Amino acid sequence: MAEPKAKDVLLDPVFKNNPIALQILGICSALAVTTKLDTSLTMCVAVIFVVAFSNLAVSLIRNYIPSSVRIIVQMTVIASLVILVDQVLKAYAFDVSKQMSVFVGLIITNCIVMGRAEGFAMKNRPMVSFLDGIGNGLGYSFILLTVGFFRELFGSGKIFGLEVMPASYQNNGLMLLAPSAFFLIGIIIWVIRTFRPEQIEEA
Amino acid sequence: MNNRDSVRNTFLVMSMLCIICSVLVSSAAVGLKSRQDANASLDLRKNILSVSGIDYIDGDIEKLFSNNIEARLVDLNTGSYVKKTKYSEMDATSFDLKKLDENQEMTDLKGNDPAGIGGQRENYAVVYLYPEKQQLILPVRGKGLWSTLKGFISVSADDFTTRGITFYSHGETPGLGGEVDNPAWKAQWNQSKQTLDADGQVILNVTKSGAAGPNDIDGLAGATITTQGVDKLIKYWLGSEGFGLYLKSGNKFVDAAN
Repeated sequence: MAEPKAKDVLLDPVFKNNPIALQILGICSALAVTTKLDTSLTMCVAVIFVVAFSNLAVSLIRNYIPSSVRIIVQMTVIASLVILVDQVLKAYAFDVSKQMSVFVGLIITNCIVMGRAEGFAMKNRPMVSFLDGIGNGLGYSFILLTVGFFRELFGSGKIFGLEVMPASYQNNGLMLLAPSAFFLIGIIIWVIRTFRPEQIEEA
Repeated sequence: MNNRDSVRNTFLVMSMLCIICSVLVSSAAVGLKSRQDANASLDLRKNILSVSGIDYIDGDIEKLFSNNIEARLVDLNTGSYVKKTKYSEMDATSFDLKKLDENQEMTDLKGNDPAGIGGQRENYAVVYLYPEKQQLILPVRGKGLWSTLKGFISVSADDFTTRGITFYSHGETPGLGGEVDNPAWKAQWNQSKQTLDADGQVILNVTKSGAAGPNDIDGLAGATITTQGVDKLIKYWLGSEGFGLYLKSGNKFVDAAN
């Protein structure tokens, strides 16, 4: 197998092979934490950290992992990293971590993290796996921040908690409920596939 | 590499991994503990200030708290203040409910547990006083739909009418039961609703949404169980099983006698 190029593994997942828009992974957290931009941003940083370092760690020990227990090894690494993130958030960003409640812990079950560990890091060298983790985290962040931006703007009339809409603007409560994230992700997928027709699946 | 799937290697790799991961996780948990505790106690103070109606957004929380709020330890079985618990050296400032649980200093409710607080009630509780506005801030808790709601209710020391409510910890459905955090809903509690009648019976009702009379609290739409949970926990903690004896006791703004 040819060694993937660093630039490709870093940037491809943002538009060309976006984990949410093309692979439809990690939808649940994209619905739950995107009502506001600050929780979205915290989630993005947390996921980038976890995917990048779980990829790095799994790739470093990939030649020693017995194949019969490889999923358990990956889960252990991922779970430890997520607990680490959760502890740091509780210590340094208490308010945000309180709002995100269980969703930090649920990064463990985010299919993107596990998918990259099993699908990429098990076969590739550490540095390139690390970049692949950052790239996929960025792809995830791109969707989360876009969804969070529109939900906070139309749902609360704010951006990062600052009032931006005119006072006469009536907040759209639907934007704060989970279904609106589905609509927005659908629209994003439609826009991406309009510009990249090769992503359209055969009917 | 040939024997990487052998039983011996599997055990070796897994034990190494477990040791490394547990060292990582536990050192993070221990190393960050003091900061997390500081955050949690700051959050508690913010909640106490907010239920007292003190604006803390731009203020120094520690200073506002120490200038306005006093803590007292109450023996719930007698209703009077005590300096420290009978069982240990804990006083109002060092009081820690978690430690109390471990020491089994609880009253068994013998199945009579309408608020769902786990079948037993602690014998001691810390209440907070806001002398300037003559308010009593009482800790309350009870079962909602998914979780135990923990919070504070603030009542006037003269006639026990409500002054505010806040829940600092709960896991109710966001947007439905989670609306107990909504400032618009909490504002109802600021409007001096009568809680007790002349005999000390709790008369405040948290009703089904839209069915509230002038002295009721309007419940949350789409969150029947959470609403009933709040209703029951208010009735329990303000009633004779909870802070009833304390509320009936004399002047609250004094120091503990013993």
